[in-house]
Amino acid sequence: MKINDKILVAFLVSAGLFSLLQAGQYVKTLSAKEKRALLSVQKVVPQIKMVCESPDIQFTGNNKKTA
Amino acid sequence: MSKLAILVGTACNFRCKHCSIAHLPPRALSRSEEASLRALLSKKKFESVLFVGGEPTLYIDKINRVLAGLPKSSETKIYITTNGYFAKSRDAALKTLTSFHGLDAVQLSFDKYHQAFTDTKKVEILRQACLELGLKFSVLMSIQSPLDLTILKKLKNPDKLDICVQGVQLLGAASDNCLEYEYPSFDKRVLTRSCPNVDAIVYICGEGFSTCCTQLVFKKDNRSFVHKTIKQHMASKFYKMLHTNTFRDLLRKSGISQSSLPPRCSHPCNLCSYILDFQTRNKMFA
Repeated sequence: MKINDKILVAFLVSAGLFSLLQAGQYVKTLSAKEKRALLSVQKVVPQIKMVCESPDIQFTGNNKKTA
Repeated sequence: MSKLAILVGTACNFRCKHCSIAHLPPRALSRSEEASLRALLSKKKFESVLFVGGEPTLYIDKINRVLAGLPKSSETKIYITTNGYFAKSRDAALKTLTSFHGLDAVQLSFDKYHQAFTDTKKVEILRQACLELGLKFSVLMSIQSPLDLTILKKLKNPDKLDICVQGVQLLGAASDNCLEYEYPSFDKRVLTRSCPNVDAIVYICGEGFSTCCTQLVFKKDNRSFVHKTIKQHMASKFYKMLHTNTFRDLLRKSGISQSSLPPRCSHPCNLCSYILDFQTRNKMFA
């Protein structure tokens, strides 16, 4: 696995979007263009969190203050 | 249960392709429901109360009448989940946000589905308005695939946003449009989990209380899952089942083989619905 693929896997797993296995499987399905697009998101917004609950119903924000 | 969420009404000025309640008939909290919820807030201490819709800012008067039940010294946090349509300008955003009694936080639904009806500039206007008022602000994105996150690059200051992501669930308009978060394979870690909403209770206008906030509560026949009072709900088989079992327990008790589970059951709500559908079909749950 190339370094950028590993970065994407780490991003997807840390965000809770997929398990490690699922993230690896998902990244394999992406084209080079799609990988670049997702990497660019990771650079701009490195911290994203997946919520299993339905956040339409449950507030999911943390205490991080925006400035 | 420390968290209460109230679906105050189904009206919305957006028509998102993934909306989970698009199939519900038009309805909103009745005066009698408002009074009951007001009384509930005056008696029971919740850590937080979240108002959702539909679009909750279309129901500010109703919400404020419910919030009138909170004691003056209440530490309950008040949240809304909004589509942010009103944030046409700083003043417009401030006017709407200050119309709520004691609002603490705003969760903005923004993703490729909402973007069809709104302007990315509103995200920044709303963020700034919340900052000015000292309110927490976060962006909630519904995605079908991680690639949907690329929309974030269109926003101003995305690095300053608190971003939460949820997978689109196959119900309401999403079901009509065949939209669902896609898992490459089944993740068996979900088996050790139980319902992620067990610490909360949801009130659906015109229906009642439930622990479930998604698939089961919006079924045509939801009598086993929704109850008129919290007491009735807590006495239900459904409530007890969710609060005393992991999904592995429920699968075992239902006689469902783990190997038969599709990738979509990686999501606890999909798995729960899968199990309950199986139990209902086999007359194991009534």
